Amino acid sequence: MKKITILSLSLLLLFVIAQPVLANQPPGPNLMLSEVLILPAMIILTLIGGGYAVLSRLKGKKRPLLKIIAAILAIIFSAMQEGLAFLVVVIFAVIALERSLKMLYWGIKSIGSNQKPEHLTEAKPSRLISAGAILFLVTIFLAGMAVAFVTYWPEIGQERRETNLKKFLTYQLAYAQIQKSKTGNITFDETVNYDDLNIEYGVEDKSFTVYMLPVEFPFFPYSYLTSQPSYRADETGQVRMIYVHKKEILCPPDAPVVWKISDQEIQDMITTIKSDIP
Amino acid sequence: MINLLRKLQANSYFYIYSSLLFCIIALLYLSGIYPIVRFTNEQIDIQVYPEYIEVDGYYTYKNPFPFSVVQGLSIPFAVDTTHFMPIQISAKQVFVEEKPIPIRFIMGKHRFDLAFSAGEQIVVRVQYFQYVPEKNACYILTTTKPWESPLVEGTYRLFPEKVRIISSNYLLQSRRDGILVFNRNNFMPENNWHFAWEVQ
Repeated sequence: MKKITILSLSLLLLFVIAQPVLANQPPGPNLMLSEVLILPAMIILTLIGGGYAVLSRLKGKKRPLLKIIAAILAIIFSAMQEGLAFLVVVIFAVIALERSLKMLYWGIKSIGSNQKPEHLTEAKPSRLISAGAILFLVTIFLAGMAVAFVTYWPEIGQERRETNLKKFLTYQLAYAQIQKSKTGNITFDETVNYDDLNIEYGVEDKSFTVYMLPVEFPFFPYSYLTSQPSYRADETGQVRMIYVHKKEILCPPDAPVVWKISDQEIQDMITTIKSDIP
Repeated sequence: MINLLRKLQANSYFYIYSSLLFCIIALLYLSGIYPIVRFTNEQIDIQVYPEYIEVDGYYTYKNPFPFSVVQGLSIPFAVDTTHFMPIQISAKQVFVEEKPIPIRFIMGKHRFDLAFSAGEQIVVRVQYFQYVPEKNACYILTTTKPWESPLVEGTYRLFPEKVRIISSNYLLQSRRDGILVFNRNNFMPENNWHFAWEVQ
């Protein structure tokens, strides 16, 4: 009881110190999902596996009121900061993994043994083992989700990257019109490059295709919980986009159009280019 | 009542079920299914160009509680076969302090989180461009409903850029400077805002 009181007071103190103004980033939905789901998963699977009956024989009918309060406070206040939320997920995951391993141990120990310990006399091995194994896998999956998403902020800079794509496209279309008025032929400027863009020029620079791929993803299988836009554009001035779950997937040529460079934008760019020429 | 509570407390399963109940309630709040903060005001400015719109929305949220909370939010977009997925989506906090808000596209929605101190009011600015070659657009208003209470005030403005607005399902007032506007107090929208235009 004394340990639990100290733990609860320590958690309270930690949360009082962690003001949101100091927080660098509140946790994302996946991190909170892990935090909120681990304990219910443990409770439900312990109930299904018959683990509470074993626990009550081992420890008697204890009233874990302070533990519940500590868990509630941990969930509420850890929502203020991503690092705190991650720490709470790790603590909850350790608790749930310990429970799953205990259930597996009880299950294995009560298989076919004539001299079962008293607390396992009514235990059903198949229920304990299957629920323990499921709890182990569920906990690993939920804790893994927290690890995968704790530093996942891919859209920082995404707006700038999309602006660069539009700028590149507008510049090339304006350049082509200037070249056409000078030489009668449409050619694009192959000297232009952007870090974010993969540009392929056609024969004699008369066409081009530009791709903008996603920057990062959380590791598999969590990459399938999120997606990032993969863009494709060409000399038609149309920008196409699909959402993908992998970095290297190129947007196909028949993907939906999400933007088209307007004549006005091209004319504005021609004016800018001409004004830049000394 | 007290006897009932004592009986429940004597039963160790009481704690198990109460923990489960708490987790379910926490899940409802944290997943955004049930809002924690209040959504009180919005001002939507839409620049209308011949083939696209530029949306600039200001949204005011208030934490009614005397303690800190975090609210998860997602941005709804009207996307179908003629209204394409918006690009250059950005969000930033503009009040009390100004700072960018990172957005993540998770489980099919653009999401972000806001951390509120006790009783704090925050204004968020969301901007995006949407390609709409059919020359009509929709701004989603009915997502106010899940907030459970009406907006104290909503202001909705269209800024035509070389176009003429030809229809709107909300009655618009034309100002001298060419801006079209409608205002609502105590507003719980029943319909989304649809409008159309033609090139001048």
